[in-house]
Amino acid sequence: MDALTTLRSFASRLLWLALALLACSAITFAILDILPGDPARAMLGMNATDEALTALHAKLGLDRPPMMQYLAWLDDLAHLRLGTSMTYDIPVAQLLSGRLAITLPLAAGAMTIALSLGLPFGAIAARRRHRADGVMLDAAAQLLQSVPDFWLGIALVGIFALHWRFAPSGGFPGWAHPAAALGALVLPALALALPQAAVLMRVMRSALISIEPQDFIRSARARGLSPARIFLRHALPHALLPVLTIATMQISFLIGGAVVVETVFDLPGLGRMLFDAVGNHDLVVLRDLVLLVAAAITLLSMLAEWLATRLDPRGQPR
Amino acid sequence: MNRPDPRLLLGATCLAGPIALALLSLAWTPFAVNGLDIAHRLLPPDAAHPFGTDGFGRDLLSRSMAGLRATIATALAATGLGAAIGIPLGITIAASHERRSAPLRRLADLVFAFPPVLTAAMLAALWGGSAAGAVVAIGAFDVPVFARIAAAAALPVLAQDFIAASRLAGRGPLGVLWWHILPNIAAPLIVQASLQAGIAVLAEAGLTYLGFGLPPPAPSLGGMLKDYQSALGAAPWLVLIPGALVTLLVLGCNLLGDGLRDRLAR
Repeated sequence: MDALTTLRSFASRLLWLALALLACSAITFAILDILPGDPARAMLGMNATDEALTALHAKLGLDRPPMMQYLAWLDDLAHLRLGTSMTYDIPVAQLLSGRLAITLPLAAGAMTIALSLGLPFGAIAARRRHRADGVMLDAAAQLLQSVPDFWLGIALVGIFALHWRFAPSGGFPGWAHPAAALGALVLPALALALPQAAVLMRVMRSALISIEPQDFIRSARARGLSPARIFLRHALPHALLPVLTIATMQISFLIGGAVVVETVFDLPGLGRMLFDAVGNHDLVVLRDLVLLVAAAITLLSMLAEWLATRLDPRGQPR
Repeated sequence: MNRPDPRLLLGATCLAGPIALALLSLAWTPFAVNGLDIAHRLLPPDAAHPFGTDGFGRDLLSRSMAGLRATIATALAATGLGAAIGIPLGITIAASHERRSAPLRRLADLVFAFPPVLTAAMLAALWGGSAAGAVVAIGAFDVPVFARIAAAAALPVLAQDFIAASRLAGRGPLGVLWWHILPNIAAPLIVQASLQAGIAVLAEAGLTYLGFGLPPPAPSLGGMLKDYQSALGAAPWLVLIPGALVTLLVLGCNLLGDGLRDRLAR
C-alpha cells in the first residue's frame, strides 16, 4: 500500500469521524432541546414563577430559536468551551477532569481484564471442547455472560468487602493515594470485566473451532509445523478478527455498564456525574456529558475498525 | 438428529418459571405488592414468604412477580420496537445501491454511540424515569443490530429469480417484502431477537437500578437491587433473589438463541 492510498483512506476516515460526531451532537441536541418538555421548568420544578423561568430561559439561551441554540453550542464545543453546571455553578470542564480520572482507568482496566481472561480461556475451551473440563468452562461462561454486572458488583462487595474485608466496599480516596485508589477500582473493574470476559471467551472459542478444520491449518500441519507454531502463526490471527469485532461492540457495553457500576460502588466518575445531572435536571452538564461519551464511543469504535482492516489483509486496498 | 437440542430445552425451562410468575401476577400475588407489614420485616425465606420479606415487611415474592412482569414487558416491547424499525431498514439497505446504502449503514451504526443508559438518562432528565423511556432507549439500540442482520440475510435472497418473478407478476415492494423476503430471512432474525431480548433484560435491570426506568413505588428488579443493596449483610436474600431472577431470564434467552441458531441453520 503506497503512501497516497494510506493518506486517502486516513482522510476519508477522518471525514467520516467528523460527520459522525456532528450527527451525535445533532441527536443529543434533538432529544434534549427539541423534544417537548421545558428544560428550565424541569430544573426549577413545577412551582417556579414566570419571572424565574424567563430569567433562566435567557441565561440558558432558550429564548433564541433552536437552530441558533444548536449553532451556539457547536461553536462553544469547537472552541472547547463547555457549559457551566447549573447545579454547582462550576464549569463542566472542571467537573469532567476529576471524573475522567476515575472512569477512564476503570473502563480501560475492565477491558484489559476481559481480554486477558477471555482470550486464553477461550483458547483452552476450544482445545478441550470434547473433555469434561472444556464443556464445564463453556457452560460457566454461558452463565457468567448472563449475570448483570452491577449485581455481580454487589455480590463482590458482599464477599470481598463485607465478609473477608479484602477491599473497600465503595467510595474513592483520590489519586493522591495511588495504592488505595487502585484498590478501590479493583472490585468495580472485575464486576464490569467478568461478564464481558465470558462473552469474549465464547467468541474466541467458536472462532478457533471453526478455523481448525480449514485447509490452511491442515496444510500447515502437513508441512510438519509444531502445534504451537500453527496456533500462533495461523489460527490465532484469524480468530482475532471476530474477537476484535465483538470487543469493539463491547466498548459501548462497558461504558454503559460503568455508569451503573460506579453507582454501586459510589465512585464519583462520569457515571455518577450522569446520574447526578439527571437527578438535578442539569441539562447543561447532561448535554456536554452525553456528547462526550457518545464521541468517545464513536472514536474508539472507529479506531478498532481501522485496526481490524489493518489485521485483515483481505480488507487492504490493492 | 430429531432429538431436541438440550440448550433449547434448558433455555425454555429457565424462561418458563419467570414468565409463569409474571403472568400470574396479572391476576394474583400472594400479598399486596406494596403492602407494609412492619411486624414481619426482614424475614428470611420460609413457607409463608418463600422469598422472605424486606425492611418494610413487604413480601419479596409478590414484588418479584410484579418486577418480572415489568422487566419482561419492557424487554419484549424494546426488542419488538428495534425489530420493527431495524428489519425494514436492513432490507432497504440490502435493496438499495451501494452508493446509497453505505451512508444508511453508517447512520444506523451511529446509534451504537448511544448505549441505552445515555438515551434513557436524557429522557429521564426531561420527563422523569418511565418504562416507556426504557423501551425507547433499549429499542433504539437494537435498531442497527436488526438492520445489520436483516441486510446481510436479505442480500442473497434479493438476487434470486423468484423475487424478480414476483415483481413481474405485479406484487408491490411491500408485498414482496412481506411474502417473499421476510419468510426467507426469518431464521437469523428470530435467533437475534432471542439474544437481544436477553440484552434488553440486562439493560432494563440496569436502568431501573439507576431510576431511569419504571419509577418507584412500582416494583422493578433493578429498583429492588438498589433499595436492598444496603441490607446486603443483614438480609442477603433480598439482593440474591432479584439478581438471580434477572440472570435466569437472560440465561434462558441466550440458551434459546444459541439452540435456535444451530437448529435453524441446518
